[in-house]
Amino acid sequence: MFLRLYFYRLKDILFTKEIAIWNIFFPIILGTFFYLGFSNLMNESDLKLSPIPAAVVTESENTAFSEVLTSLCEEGDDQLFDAVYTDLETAKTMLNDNDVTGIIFIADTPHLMLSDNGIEQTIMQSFIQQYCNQADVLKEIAMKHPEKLSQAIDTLSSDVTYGHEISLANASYDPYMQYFYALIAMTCLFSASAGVHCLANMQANQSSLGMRREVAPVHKLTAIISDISATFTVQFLSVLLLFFYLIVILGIDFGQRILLILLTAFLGTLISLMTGLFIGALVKKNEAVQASIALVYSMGCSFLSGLMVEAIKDWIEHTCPIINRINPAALITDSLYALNMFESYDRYIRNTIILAVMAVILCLISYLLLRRTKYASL
Amino acid sequence: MSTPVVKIENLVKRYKELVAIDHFNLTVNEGEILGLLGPNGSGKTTTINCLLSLLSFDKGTVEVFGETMRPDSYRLKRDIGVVLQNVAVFDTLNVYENIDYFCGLYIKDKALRRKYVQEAIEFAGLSEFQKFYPKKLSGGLLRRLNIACGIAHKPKLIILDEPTVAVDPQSRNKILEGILELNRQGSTIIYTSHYMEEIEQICSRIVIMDKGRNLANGTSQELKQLIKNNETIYIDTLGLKNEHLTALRQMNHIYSVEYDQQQLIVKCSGGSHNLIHVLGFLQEQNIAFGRVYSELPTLNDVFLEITGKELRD
Ligand SMILES: Nc1ncnc2c1ncn2[C@@H]1O[C@H](COP(=O)(O)OP(=O)(O)OP(=O)(O)O)[C@@H](O)[C@H]1O
Ligand SMILES: [Mg+2]
Repeated sequence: MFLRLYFYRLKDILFTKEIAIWNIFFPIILGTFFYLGFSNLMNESDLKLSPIPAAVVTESENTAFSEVLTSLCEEGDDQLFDAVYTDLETAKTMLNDNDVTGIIFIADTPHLMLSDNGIEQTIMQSFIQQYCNQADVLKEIAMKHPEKLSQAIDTLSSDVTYGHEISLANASYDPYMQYFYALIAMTCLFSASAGVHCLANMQANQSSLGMRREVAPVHKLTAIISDISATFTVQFLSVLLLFFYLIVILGIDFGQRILLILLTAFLGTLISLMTGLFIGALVKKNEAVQASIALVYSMGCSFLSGLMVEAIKDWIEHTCPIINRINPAALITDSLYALNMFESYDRYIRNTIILAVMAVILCLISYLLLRRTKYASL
Repeated sequence: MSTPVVKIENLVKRYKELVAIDHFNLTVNEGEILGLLGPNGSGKTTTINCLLSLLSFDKGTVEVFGETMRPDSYRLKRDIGVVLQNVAVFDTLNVYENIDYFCGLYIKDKALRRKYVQEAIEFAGLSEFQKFYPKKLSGGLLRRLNIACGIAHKPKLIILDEPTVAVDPQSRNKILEGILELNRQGSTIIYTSHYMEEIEQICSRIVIMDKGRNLANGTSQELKQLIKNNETIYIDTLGLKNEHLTALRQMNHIYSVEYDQQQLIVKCSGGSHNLIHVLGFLQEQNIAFGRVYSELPTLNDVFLEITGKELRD
């Protein structure tokens, strides 16, 4: 019974024009616009790299590091830092006055002092990190093959610059990847409308089809689960299709952890579907009203997560972070961002758990609401 | 006596102020075709929806096959076929698939289902339209699809709520015959309509309802005997005078005489040979007459007499 209901429902959904348009073509078209619009921007920002102003304070001698630092401060195409060698006091004043982005301490273990977060700070951190990772190697080269040192530094600097590019592609104010994350989130969130529609087709007070189906001897739970599964299948497939289009056709790089990215999309679709169910079960109005609410929900969440104005999400993070913690669109974009940016899974896992828990809660509430079985009015 | 297929007792359903069903009683026995006859808004659909446990109601009991009907009475629902007043089919499935879908909600066995679906298609005369999608069907064909979806699984109890609206007379007759055939094959049928001809044609028992109440119930004959009128005579004639009318009124069994636009209308209650007596009187008086015809009472007359209003507006 379940499979029959499922497959018929699948066909029903696939042949509904609105669903094809909104879930499949709209995201792809939007993605294409983003791609065309931002591929230029992306190239420009590559060119605009300028040296990062930094104060350098010597705590203790470290020849190898000094050597590396000096070579990265030399004027030229690959100049990374614009360094001012000074004492701690002056350096701190400069940092406070925003004359420099950070202070680099020359010491046995080189370290940083930063006052802010941002792309330049990230680059500086990345540089120190890279150096520390490879300090032993560099020291050895400096001692045994001084002539090869500059070559080694070049490698290091290009690693940092590479880090730089990654940061550019993903940092919060970058117009490029953030938009694609938001696009993915939006596509997931469109499932809310599908959830509303799915439920309306099952409820006697919403549609004659629902009425007809409620007089059939099919357990309500079976009916709901089969329909929801079919709706989910289509919704998730449309997200997969979008990924395929973005990654394979447009060549957009979402990083290496593709399975985890898909897990996020899976949960994102699930939670939106559950939200749709929840809206359908809770709002005692006709399907059109419920569908509008679902649309407002998906577009609203997408907007807050930076689909139209990328700075919104950051602004919320500073003013009311809780919204970003519970906005599914923000959780989805943040998970994708974290997967691509950070080695550690902490942030990803946190987001994933929130998504999963919210989905389960919505599902339970919807079930409780839907158990009511007779209608006061049809 | 065996348990009734449907037993509704003292059903009351209110929509806020409006009492849609007012202490309604109904018993349907096995093998019957019960006609629920009432004008628009009389509560037919509401009764059906309460019977099917779709609607909650304020008072009363509903039993089907001797058991209380509940939303989760899946076992009972298995034996009920429903054709709702509003067409309920999937726009995205074609005729065959729609019937197969709904039949499949009741019949698991594939081979049996295929047979049933085919029979339902024949039944509704949809053979040529199997691959059509509902959007491409005319209103009448859509109705026929709706019927096919409801009865394909050959249920013991079939409930049809105004199934023939917008169906042309020829197809309608075919459907009515089909319903009679389903009944012969053993289905008990509840049929609502405001077309008295339909109801008279197929129903073994008729319930007349208005304003949510069960006003009268019986066979068409029994209902007609309830009322005073049992024959109306129409005679086209010229030059009748008042004294003639008065004389006519004094004849046996005649309770109403009207003369308007050269047509004499005489209503009789009981008695026989009323027409011959009236014509004999006219000949005695040397009054020429033209067209003459006499009508037996219709359900409309029954309805008119019980409620004081016409069945159809
Ligand atoms: N959801 C509702 N809310 C309020 N009133 C309703 C509702 N549904 C029906 N009614 C009222 O209940 C009464 C009975 O309606 P119902 O649909 O049962 O009539 P019906 O006999 O089926 O009429 P028709 O021949 O037009 O189908 C009507 O007065 C109608 O206006
Ligand atoms: Mg009705």
